[in-house]
Amino acid sequence: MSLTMTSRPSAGVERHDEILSIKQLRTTLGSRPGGVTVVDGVDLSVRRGKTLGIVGESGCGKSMLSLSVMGLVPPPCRLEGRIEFSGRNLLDVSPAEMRRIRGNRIAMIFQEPMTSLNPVLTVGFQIVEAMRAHDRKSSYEVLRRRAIEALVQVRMPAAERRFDEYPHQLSGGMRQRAAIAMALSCKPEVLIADEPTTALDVTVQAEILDLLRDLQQETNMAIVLITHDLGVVAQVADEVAVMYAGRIAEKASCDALFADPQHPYTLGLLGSIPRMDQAATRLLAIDGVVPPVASMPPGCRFHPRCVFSGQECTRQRPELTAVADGHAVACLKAPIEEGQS
Amino acid sequence: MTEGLLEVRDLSKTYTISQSLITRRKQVLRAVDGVSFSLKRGETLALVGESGCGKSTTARLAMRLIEPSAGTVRFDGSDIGGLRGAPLRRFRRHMQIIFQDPFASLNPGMTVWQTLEEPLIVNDLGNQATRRARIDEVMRQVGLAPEYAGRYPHEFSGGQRQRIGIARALIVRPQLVVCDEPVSALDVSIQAQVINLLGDLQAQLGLSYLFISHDLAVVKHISDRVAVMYLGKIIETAPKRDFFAMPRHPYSRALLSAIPQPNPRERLNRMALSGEIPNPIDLPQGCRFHPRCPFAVDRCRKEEPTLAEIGTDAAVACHRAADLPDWEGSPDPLDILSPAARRRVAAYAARTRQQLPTIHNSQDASEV
Repeated sequence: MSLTMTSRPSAGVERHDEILSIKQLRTTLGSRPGGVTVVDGVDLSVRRGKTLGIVGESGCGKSMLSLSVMGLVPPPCRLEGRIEFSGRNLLDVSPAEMRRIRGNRIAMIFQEPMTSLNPVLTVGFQIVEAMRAHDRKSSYEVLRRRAIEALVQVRMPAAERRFDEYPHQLSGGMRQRAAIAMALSCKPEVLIADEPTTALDVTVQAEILDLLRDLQQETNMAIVLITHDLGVVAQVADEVAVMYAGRIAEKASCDALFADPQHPYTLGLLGSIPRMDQAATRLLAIDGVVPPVASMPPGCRFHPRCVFSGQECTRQRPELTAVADGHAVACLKAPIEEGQS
Repeated sequence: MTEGLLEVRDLSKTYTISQSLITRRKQVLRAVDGVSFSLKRGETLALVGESGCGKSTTARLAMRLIEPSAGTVRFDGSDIGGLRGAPLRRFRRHMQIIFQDPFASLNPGMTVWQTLEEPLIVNDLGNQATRRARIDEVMRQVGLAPEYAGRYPHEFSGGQRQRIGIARALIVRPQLVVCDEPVSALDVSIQAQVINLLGDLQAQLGLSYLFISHDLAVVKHISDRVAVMYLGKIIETAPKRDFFAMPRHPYSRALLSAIPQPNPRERLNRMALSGEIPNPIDLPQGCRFHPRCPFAVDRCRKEEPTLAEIGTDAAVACHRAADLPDWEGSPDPLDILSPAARRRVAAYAARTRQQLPTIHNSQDASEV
């Protein structure tokens, strides 16, 4: 299973390329003592020109993780750990400095392009506005031209005309293209894409994923792709982190995760992908629901839903442990094998 | 041929959009354009297509939630087109619907009990005591503890809310349930729970499903037959196995190849479509798919293909259906899992089966 590991660059090269590195991040919401910890000790990094896929279901903390990076967690909140971006800890920089980074060097696109675009402003106005926030000097004409270039770059049909159109005049796919154009207009080094294709039709989803991959090759930006869809991750990610209830359950290169999945939650997600199978008429379902953030179970947070859990899982928090080069799993029972008790 | 439970013939729905105040020229949007299908008892027919293809409108026409512009709908042998008043209400009992968004489709001001009791009252079914028993029974069937009957929708998760939606549809003992994207708003692991539930209920109660979805992976699991829609028309219909083994229409192939496979080694193997879906008010000449079709020839630009039978129970509307290259097939996700992954998923499944009987016994016990 480790054949994919040999082709990975050495650790030295990796460190050099790391553009964003999250270390022991803890994000706590609320002002009450303790509060509600929605991201609990997460370590992640993404390299230039590469895509990190973060997989998880609603409530796993994947969106809070991205908001933490953007400095957009709604107050009152407490962030601990480090978010290193080009050599600086984003948790220490001033709000003014953060505004210069946000949207400019780290940009974000969201799930629902209709709600992330302002319905009463033209597409062009919104792109120019985003560029203006980081460029006070250029004339409107210059920004307008750059905005149209951005629309051309995202393969928007009839880009020149779309500049003056309103979001409702565009199809869902075109709206997401406009949102991507806006995010890319300042040539960010990191793009955080939070479920960018979930609201789109499957053929449009394929187009947007292709587009993101092409743009990444053109600009060498790093992409953090947040999704619930293991299929999407398999298609575009280089590295993958599976999140559950605010923690990382499993982290590996994309090849290794699908070749050698180890965490029961990862297995459950893989098994619940619908398929046509003569023998089994039932899908493998993960019973139960994600625990509410305010009342996390002790020990492993997945244990109430886990078919493999034992006594120790209810007491001991599993640490993310390396099982191969670049592959780490947080499970006391991993790897799962048949006949295991 | 025996008549199916639901027989839809040449169903159309057009909306008139007045465009210009000066010329008074009227434009017509054909949301559904001559759709025919039949659904047998106990069968699941999937209506598949992308947003705006008319699949939801078709289902609503079949239920007479909106009035068709043309065509007939026969349910259980009788034409429902002319029904008015009390007979129409009596018919509705037999055909219920589950909606996509479990957050929008439940009244936030009504408890589960009120939500489930209302259809019984409206249809004048039972007295207070039998209603209570029926609500208990249906809640158990969909996997909700009857103790939750006094709670409001906001106290439930998305998957649980969808179970309430399913219970509301089932409470009047319908024969046919229209499932309008019932799992697309749910998380993957919850999707699997709800799909399993729908399958179990169909087996227990002999339900027929008209299953509307844009997700071919879900359709592949749950349906018996597939009908693909594009811009208001059915362009291909076939039994599930034939459809997934050998899709005949280029659009069906594009849809299938666009599903992201959960295997990093299966990348970049899709059939790309060019362009956007045409404006339904201003449809292209000839085949509606030709501007995006990589196989289009002159004939496709001039002459609209009709749905032509190909083999038993299958039909396709494409001039080039016979000329398409062989279909390499869409691999089953389970087949493309690595050996280690397959072994562990199997171990997981074995463990789930060991635990399942307890859940099932309690469900079965509550059945009447």
